[in-house]
Amino acid sequence: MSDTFETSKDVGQLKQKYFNDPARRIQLKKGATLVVEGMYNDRLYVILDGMLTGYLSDENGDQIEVYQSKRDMFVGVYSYFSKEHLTYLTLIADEDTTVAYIDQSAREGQAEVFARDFLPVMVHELYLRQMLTQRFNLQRQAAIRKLFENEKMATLGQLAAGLAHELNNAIGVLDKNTSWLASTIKDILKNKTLRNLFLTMLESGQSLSTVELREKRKSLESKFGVPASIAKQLAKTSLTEDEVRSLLKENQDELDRISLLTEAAITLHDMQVAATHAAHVVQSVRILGMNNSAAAVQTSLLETINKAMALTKSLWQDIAVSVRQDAEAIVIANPGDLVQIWVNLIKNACESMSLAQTQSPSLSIQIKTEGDYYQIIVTDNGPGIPEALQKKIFQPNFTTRVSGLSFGLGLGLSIVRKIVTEYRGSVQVESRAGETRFEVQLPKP
Amino acid sequence: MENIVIIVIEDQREVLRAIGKDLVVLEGGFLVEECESTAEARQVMDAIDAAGDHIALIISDQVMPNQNGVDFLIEVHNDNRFTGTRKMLLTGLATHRDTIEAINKASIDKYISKPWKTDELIDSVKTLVTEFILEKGIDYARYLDLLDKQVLFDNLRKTT
Repeated sequence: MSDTFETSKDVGQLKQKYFNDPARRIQLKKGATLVVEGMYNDRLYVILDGMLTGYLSDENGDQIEVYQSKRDMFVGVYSYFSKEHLTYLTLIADEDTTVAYIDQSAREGQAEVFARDFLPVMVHELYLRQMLTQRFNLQRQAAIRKLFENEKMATLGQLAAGLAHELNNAIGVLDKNTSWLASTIKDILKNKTLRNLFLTMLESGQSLSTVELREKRKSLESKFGVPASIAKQLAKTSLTEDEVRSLLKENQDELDRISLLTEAAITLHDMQVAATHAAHVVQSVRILGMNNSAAAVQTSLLETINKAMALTKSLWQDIAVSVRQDAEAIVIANPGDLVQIWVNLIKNACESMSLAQTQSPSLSIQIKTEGDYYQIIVTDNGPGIPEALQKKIFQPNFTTRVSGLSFGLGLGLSIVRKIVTEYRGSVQVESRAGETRFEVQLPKP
Repeated sequence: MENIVIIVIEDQREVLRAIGKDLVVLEGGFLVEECESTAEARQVMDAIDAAGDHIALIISDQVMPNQNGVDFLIEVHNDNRFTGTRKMLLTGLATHRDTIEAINKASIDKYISKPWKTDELIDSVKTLVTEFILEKGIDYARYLDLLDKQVLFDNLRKTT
């Protein structure tokens, strides 16, 4: 026996040397079985053409796919080389397949040569099978993870739905009662000046930033020579300098009254903003945890847009809005999903315009029919989205809103994208100062 | 006569105003400066320091854009203009790590979680401001109504 181990024989050479007997060929039709698990087999097969899949049966008798063998790969390896010659797999042809085989007689009288010829290809064959098993294993782990994730989301969705119901009731009480308090105080105020002051602050809230308030306070301090605490009270009100001058001639009581009333109006305003915000957050979390595309029905796009407009009415009261469609547009969808898309887009548009104090703000929503798609275009004439941010806006947790409670968790546009993608649609943004267009494409049924 | 200032940092205006409203009762003696970001607070603090006034206490939110509360308080802690300034973290969301950092690196004096109780907030503010005033040797007679009596009493017992 030589020390060096010859490993030059490849499959081609092996086929030439061992598998060239035309009498030892088998043609298998697609679906035909070559060997059955547990059967006696003393042959080694090489696949000349086609493909075979190996199956193992589990304790329930179900067939589990173990590996696939293609052209130039070997099957029957284990049963051929083992003592018992029993197959551990069932082999079925995936397509019309031709195999050639050898039996035990091929080894007789030349065991050493045979071993040298076959060892490298058998090691390679086993290596291929092991890699396949590894790949199956990874796929299975990924599938299990996905399943686990889905189940987690479903549980989260149920939890969120229950929580949302309870919280919405609580938020509703706070919201309604805040409105009631505001209108009651308004009715009690007989003095027209005080009443107007109250209504103005109730409507706008405190629109000055802390920096602006500090500047105003300092200017009042130096102009009127009042202590910081009184200047601070005055700065928070919407009083003009002339009004402040005449107010300071009055007694401290009058100042306290105005100051308290201003504070009360801003407080009620903040409470309403907080209630709206809380309601939106609850809704957003509920939508994120939910997978309800199962309940898809024929849905009119225009109807869902009108519903969204109704829900966001408080946001666009001072904005010129238009909703148009060039033809009746029907999609297969859960109406709630679509409403959620429009609410988020409308909310973004309105809030960006109101934050930037856009002159004569306008919002238009247009439904167009384009080939296989409906296109819904939401356009506003607000400040626009800086180019650098346009790529990021669809990511969860992205928010430009750094001040103010009315602003979300940064979930809005990520929800829009999630829903649109679920319906195999797409969403794009085009934005410059003075015009921002969000285009949603949804496939026709 | 120097002023004694309390700085409040909170990025959500509505929340900031709610804290400010709770602290109005202290405005008879101290000045409360409300800031919407740490950057704004830094400017205000520079101005206060330049005017020779005292910053007795900083109350800061944790989760804010640009810079979080703990990072800012660490910065203040390492600034020798503000040695003695008391630090309070008022937050609805701080991770375990944030909290450890806050204690170890910023030596915060008090941690209050949102939603806060007005009484707890006021009492804590009074305690911390009283400690600051005593430590700096500021004449406290004019603030007597607004200070923590227990802290004053303990101090008297120690010094007499």
